[in-house]
Amino acid sequence: MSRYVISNKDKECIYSMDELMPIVAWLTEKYTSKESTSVSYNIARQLMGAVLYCIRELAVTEDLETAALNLNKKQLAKDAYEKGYELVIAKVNQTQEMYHTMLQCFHAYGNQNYYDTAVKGIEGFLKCYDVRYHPQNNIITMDYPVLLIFDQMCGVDLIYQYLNCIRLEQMFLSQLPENFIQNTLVRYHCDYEELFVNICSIVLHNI
Amino acid sequence: MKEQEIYELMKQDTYYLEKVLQSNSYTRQFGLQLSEHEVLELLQDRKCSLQEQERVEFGEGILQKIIFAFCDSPYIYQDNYVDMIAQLQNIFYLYKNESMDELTDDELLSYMKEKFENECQGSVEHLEDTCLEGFARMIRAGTCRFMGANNEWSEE
Repeated sequence: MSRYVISNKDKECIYSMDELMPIVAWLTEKYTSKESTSVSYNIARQLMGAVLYCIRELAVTEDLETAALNLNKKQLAKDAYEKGYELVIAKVNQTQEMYHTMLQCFHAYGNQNYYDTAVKGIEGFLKCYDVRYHPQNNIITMDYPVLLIFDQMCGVDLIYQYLNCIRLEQMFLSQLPENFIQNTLVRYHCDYEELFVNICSIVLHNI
Repeated sequence: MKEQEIYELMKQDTYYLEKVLQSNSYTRQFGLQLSEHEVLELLQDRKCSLQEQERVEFGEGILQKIIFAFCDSPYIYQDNYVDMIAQLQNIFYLYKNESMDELTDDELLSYMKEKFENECQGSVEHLEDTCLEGFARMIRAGTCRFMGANNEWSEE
């Protein structure tokens, strides 16, 4: 029978299909409002992904103290899912807070892609993000390239880290004179407003 | 297959078997009854249909609902009972997919029953190939919607 291994640095939890399926069944019932006894493979896959995402969130976020206390004790899958779900909600709130703080002094320096992604894109994500049924979905394509690559992340975890990169970029850029940044960008390319490039890296190369 | 898996499957089938067999107490008044062997056959068909239609089913399943919905039909009698239920079950899963899950179980079942009794006069082939085919197309195109428990259907 298939088993899912969910691990962080300190511990590793193995949940069998037997433990996960009742949660998926419960989630499916909620998803269909008890009006359909069956769902397509795609939906079942999505809901299983949602369950695993929340459980993984708990494993990743759990602080060291709690991890030490529970080192040899595996949580029940249902408990782990519920706790993980709360953590995902908390992360969405943190992301929202960070987004609103960043917006107050956000400057796209004329680059359309930067503005569209950081302002409109993240806003769209926050509007459409589905914590219960599809937390693993990033929704947006994040066209603005940041300096870090997030390989194995998805959902709000990814967006949170992505937004954090933009926030740090903004902090850095705000320390420099606006004229200097604009001139550097124009020197880099006269149509820099239309390019899908990282503003910060261009400026860094010219400091 | 490991022993544990076989045991789990048996446990599941026993649960469904009992549930479906319970429906005999209701269908008997229409002269319809399923034996254990026939229920197991239907459950096997259910598995194949679900696999074929790439669907997963949780809870009590649709079989019992199909039995309750169609058992009072004049076109179903003991000799064709198992075959009819098996075909209807198969069609049900097919058209859940074809309607892109836009219909609830009860909506689809009530449409199937209504057409089966009237337009199709008990023909499962007509129900599948003509009525449901056209209906699913309308559902996908968004030109038809279910009007509620009074079984009224409207075309926009």
